[in-house]
Amino acid sequence: MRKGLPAFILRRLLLAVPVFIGVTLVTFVLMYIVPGDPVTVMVEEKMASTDPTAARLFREKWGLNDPLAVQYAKFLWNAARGDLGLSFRSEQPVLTAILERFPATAKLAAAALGIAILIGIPLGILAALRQNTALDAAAISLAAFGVSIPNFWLGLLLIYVVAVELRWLPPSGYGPAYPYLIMPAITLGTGLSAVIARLTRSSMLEVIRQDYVRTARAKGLAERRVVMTHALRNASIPIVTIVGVQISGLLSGAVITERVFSWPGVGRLLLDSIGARDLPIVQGCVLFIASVFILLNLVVDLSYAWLDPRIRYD
Amino acid sequence: MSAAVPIRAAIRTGPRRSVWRRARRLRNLTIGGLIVGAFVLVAILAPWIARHNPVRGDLNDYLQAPGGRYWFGTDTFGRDVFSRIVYGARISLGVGIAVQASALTIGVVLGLLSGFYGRWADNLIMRLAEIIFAFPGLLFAIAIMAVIGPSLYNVFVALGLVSWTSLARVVRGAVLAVKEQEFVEAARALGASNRRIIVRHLLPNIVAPAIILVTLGIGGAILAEASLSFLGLGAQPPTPSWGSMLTVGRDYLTEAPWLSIYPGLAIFLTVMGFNLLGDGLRDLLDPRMRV
Repeated sequence: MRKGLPAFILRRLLLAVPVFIGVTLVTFVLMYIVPGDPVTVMVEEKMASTDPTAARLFREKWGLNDPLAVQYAKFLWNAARGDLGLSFRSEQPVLTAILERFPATAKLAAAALGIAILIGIPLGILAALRQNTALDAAAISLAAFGVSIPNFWLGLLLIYVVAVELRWLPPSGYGPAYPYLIMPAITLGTGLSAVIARLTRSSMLEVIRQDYVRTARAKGLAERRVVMTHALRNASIPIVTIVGVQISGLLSGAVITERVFSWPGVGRLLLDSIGARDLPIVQGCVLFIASVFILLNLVVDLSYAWLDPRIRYD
Repeated sequence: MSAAVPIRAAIRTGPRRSVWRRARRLRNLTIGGLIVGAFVLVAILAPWIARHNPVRGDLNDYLQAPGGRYWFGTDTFGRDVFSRIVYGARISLGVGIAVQASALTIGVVLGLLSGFYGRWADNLIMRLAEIIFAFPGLLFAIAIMAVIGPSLYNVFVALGLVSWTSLARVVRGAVLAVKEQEFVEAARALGASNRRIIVRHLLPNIVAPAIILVTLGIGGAILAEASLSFLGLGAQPPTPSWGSMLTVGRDYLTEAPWLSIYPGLAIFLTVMGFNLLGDGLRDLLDPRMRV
């Protein structure tokens, strides 16, 4: 292990603490300053009762009569030990509910990321190697389309064309990767592939003019090796950085994609719980996605050292 | 002769003219400007362009296919999809511009405070920006909407709260870069107030990056509003928001694909227009990117 690495990881994890506190505090405080009482509404919906006693009993049971600061401190203390509370609706532990749904979201996000990389990087390399040709122009236009297309619309178009008209794939549902994962993954991956293609192109354009690439060519290396080993590896740091930044878009996009394709992931759980005013689940999902996001970004930061051994963590 | 032409051309080409000439050569700027201009016109002239009432329909005309009286067909309430899209431009552009206007105000004020006064103000504001920046923006907005409830005004509040961070950073950076330069020191030596230094010497330096960020930000805010409305967390019926039109479209994809195709196309074109315009403005205004 590289010197300074454990300290670096620890420092990064400590930096995540204010983010967690900020996110939980915002949702917690907002719940209390908003007019209208979510508990009353929930009790009315759940127990079909407008009896104030029902709401009072509900509040007592869930400790909602404590002062806000006490509730918040309890929540943080429990969350730090991995206990995110119980669902108002099903009384299932929040963490269990989330972990049940997590594999579906992980599959979707991983497949989308794979598609984005498999399309984006080759497209960017080709555009850079053939700068100012028709191929380059086509790649740039394609990327401009991909960046702007709303993923929920793309999903609906895919369902309409591929599932309804051509009947090649099922319109929605959850099951084995083929045939169920294909359209959701394309829907979620397209925007990111466009971003990656753009950045790969500009990053490669910068690198292929460098002396070390000329040297590699001069010593007679095959073009393939020049591009893949000497140019791409050096061009990859900005690409990896942008993938890290875009992970947030991937996670937000997953919420929407899961809604379009009725994909039973964490995003769908979040939206269903918002509809049912199941606030512990809502808060748990938000916190969970934030944690995944922070961890993935840490992985991205750590990969810099592998890409560029000159980088030191201190 | 051969020497005279370039000199005369140079005399005619003042700085303003050269910007104009460069602008016309930037294809993304032109296309983006045309698309955005067209949608702005549609939004302004909506009552004259729309052919039917956007919120009241004729139930006898339930789910009519495009063509005839209804160019883009009708929805489940017999409302004209074309007219709803035309009025929807007001909502999309309105939210986009309002969100970015508040982001600009918050961003410039906090960025100036942070860069100009430094110390604890800087620390506090930049940590806050980091926390917001470190979190998926749309998800943050979803969380806020989950608590404060769905409405168009709340969309504006939620997006405004998360959209100011990059502007604040840019403003702070520009202030730090300019603050120690001699002309600012000279202005101070001449007795200029902080306010005068900010208005006369600092703000002009952030106009270009602010224009670029705001233009790109409007596209982002329009997409975010459409996403939230699509999830049922934004504009509520019968408001003709493009995003919520797609929510209905999803349920009728087999019988009435036009309910999904046209509103989505409107979102796509508007967002692409702002993206191209923003990229074009960056090519035009940001000296570091000039070729």
